[in-house]
Amino acid sequence: MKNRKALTNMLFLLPSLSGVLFFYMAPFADVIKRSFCDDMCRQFVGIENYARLFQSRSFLLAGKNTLFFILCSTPLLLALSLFFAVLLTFTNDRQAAPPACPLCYLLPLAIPVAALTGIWNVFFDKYGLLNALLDHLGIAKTDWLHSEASMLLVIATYLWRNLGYTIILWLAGLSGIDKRLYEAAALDGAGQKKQFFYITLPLLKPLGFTVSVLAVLNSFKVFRDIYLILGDYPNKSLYMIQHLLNNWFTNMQFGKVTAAALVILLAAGWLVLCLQICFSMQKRRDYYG
Amino acid sequence: MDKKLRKIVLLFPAFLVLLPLFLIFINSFMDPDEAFLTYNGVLGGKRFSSFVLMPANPSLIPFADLLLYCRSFYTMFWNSAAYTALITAGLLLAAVPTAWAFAKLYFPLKKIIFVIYMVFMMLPFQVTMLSNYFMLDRTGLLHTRWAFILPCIFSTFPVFIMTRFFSDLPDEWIEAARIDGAGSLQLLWHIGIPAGKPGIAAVTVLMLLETWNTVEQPLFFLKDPSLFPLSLFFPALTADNFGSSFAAAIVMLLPPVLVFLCGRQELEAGIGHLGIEK
Repeated sequence: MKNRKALTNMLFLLPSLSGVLFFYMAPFADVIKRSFCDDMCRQFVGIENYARLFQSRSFLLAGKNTLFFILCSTPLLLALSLFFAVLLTFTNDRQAAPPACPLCYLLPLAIPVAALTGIWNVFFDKYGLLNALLDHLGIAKTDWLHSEASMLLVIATYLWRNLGYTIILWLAGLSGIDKRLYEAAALDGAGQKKQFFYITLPLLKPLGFTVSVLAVLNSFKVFRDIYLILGDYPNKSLYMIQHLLNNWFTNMQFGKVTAAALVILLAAGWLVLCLQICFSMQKRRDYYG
Repeated sequence: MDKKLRKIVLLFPAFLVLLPLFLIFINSFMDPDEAFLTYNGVLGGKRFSSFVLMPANPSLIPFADLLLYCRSFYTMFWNSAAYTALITAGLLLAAVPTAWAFAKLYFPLKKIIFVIYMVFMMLPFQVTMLSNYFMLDRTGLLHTRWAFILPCIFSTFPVFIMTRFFSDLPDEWIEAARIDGAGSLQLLWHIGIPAGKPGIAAVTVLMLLETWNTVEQPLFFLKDPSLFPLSLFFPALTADNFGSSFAAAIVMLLPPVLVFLCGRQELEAGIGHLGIEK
């Protein structure tokens, strides 16, 4: 009886799972197989692709850049958005948060990348608006688009796009915290700083999982912006793992590309597990049912 | 912190969001000569650009150029509209029952399947592209419209988000309905969908915006420019096409901004809901 029920329940999975199996999971078996074969998939070559991968200087460079970007930008996003959310929540008079604010906070989600390429050029070109401003202030110009500094530009773009809705996420979490906790803590003589570290942060921890997953997810999406604004071969410091895979793929180097895909899949799996362990210290109702 | 300072700090992100949009708007009314004077360095000259609040001679020529003489823009616009509608509809059909099953139904290997969904969601496009590519190639769908549409429909992200919504519905409702003899499908139809409406609305808005902005799938899976969506329209800036590039940006961001303004409350409530842990 229970088995029959489980079987009918599985039917609900069918619409999505069949597609995911067909387009994502099953062909991944092909990816794994190809990672142990030569580029044309004629011959089994063992772990040669993996050896070549880890010796490839471009792979190491791209891996390093991507990790650097994720490690810089996601904590920065989490911290900044939490800062603004706390400020918004604990600003007592409501007028300090104009009603138009949430609107502009979420607006960047709606702006297509292609619509931004032009204006980003106008701002960040060697002779663009930002450098014009800096020139007024007596600071020498920087080539934001095509030098090491472009990493800053990309981090800024990532923050620009994602800050708003991360703030909204934290705001919701903060609104769920019982105000009486703060009152009680204040009575016991805890200052604002203590209240933040001993009440706010621990209670926001479970939410941290969702926020971090989304932050990492969106950090991969920043590639779209880089790609449309800066093209196939940006400055060396911005050469991301996505560029590398694109270029290998276009050059039909399937052996290396598939090996890299498998390595990244394992890394993503490991990351999901880490985040889950890291944020599930507190026992909570788990949502798998 | 001082009240005024707080206000300024809080308004700062809003300013940063609105400034580029304002400039896109302004620039779309600029004729080539003025563009070359104002943004000299950007357009190949050697002088710094200057910030203007209004073009000296605002003109509609950029819009006329774009809308009257650029046929590919039309094709791409309507392609985008069709892709966005089809993909969003398709992914809702696929994701709603699946998310419901993950959230409220029992079946074996649930946890593992869900974690696999999450891992696939986290992967950058370039990794899943390989699986997509091999399958599309094998089935002969590559370089057709379906090469873009089908992989997007089966993206695992909406399932993840919707599962969060459904799992927050109280189990008691479901048990009560079951005792009254409701089957799984009736449960979804009479409880899941009505009660999960805010979540479904939020995902719909989010995916409409996301799909309109899809770059990588069409870039790699389509070949024929007549099938391209608007998200691939980004001409290099020159003095001649300066105004019309920004006019294109305006037309490009109008539909998503309208969707956003109509669905703002759903989106805000939906994203906010994700932030409330039970």
